[in-house]
Amino acid sequence: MSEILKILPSLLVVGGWMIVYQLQALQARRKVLREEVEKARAAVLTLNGDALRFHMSAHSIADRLALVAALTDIERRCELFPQISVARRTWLPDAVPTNKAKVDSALIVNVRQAITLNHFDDESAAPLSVGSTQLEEITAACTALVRSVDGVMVAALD
Amino acid sequence: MTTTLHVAQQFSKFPGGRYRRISEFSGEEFRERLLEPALRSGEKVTVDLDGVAGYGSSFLEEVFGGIVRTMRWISREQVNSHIAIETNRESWRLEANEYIDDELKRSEARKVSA
Repeated sequence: MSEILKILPSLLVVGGWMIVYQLQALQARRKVLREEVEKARAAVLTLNGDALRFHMSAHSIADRLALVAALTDIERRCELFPQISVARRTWLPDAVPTNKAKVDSALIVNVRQAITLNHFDDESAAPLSVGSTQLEEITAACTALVRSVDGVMVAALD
Repeated sequence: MTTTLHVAQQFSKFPGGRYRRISEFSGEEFRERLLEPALRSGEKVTVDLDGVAGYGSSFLEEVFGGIVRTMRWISREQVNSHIAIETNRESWRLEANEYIDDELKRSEARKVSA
């Protein structure tokens, strides 16, 4: 009994250290996740504005390529969320449950279709006017994606 | 035998729009110049979508919806026995399959109405 009492303080120190380490690791991963979510959110909002400008202006091949690259970049960023949230060591908890860190790919498809399925390739096509349905669809699809990204942000709050 | 077509290596890292007449490296050009000849040789074709800057939906629709139209495929089994899609981007796979399914539904509707 006295032997156990002798090592008890050491056990308490090690146990306490493990709990603190776990909490710090969890907080650090959540912070990185929040930062990435903010970048992705900003990228979607920028894409929304750029896409509206593209469709309301004279056709530009450079702008078309930039929009396609931006879409790929947003998808890459969203794919990072579950990867960041998963703990590297099995005894540590995930920063956010994987299902809550995942952005539905269908939302990214919707954004791409709204921007690039129609009125996207033809250099001779006239710019769209303000009341165009396609412009509304672009904003609606981007808003839905931002909402989903916001959901990851809320899940990653401490 | 399976042939793999790498879009980035064999076609372009910057795929264009839908039609040849309005866009360089269009979906129509990819389908006619690479995909259809490979399929007509009788081999199963895997299309590797990775490695490019990105795709417009019009390109994907013209390649995957277009190939169902031109080959006159009428069922998923038929499509799957001839073509496979390879990519690490879930949304590209999802969208390409959506165009295949949409076109199969259209051909089914045409068959019913005929």
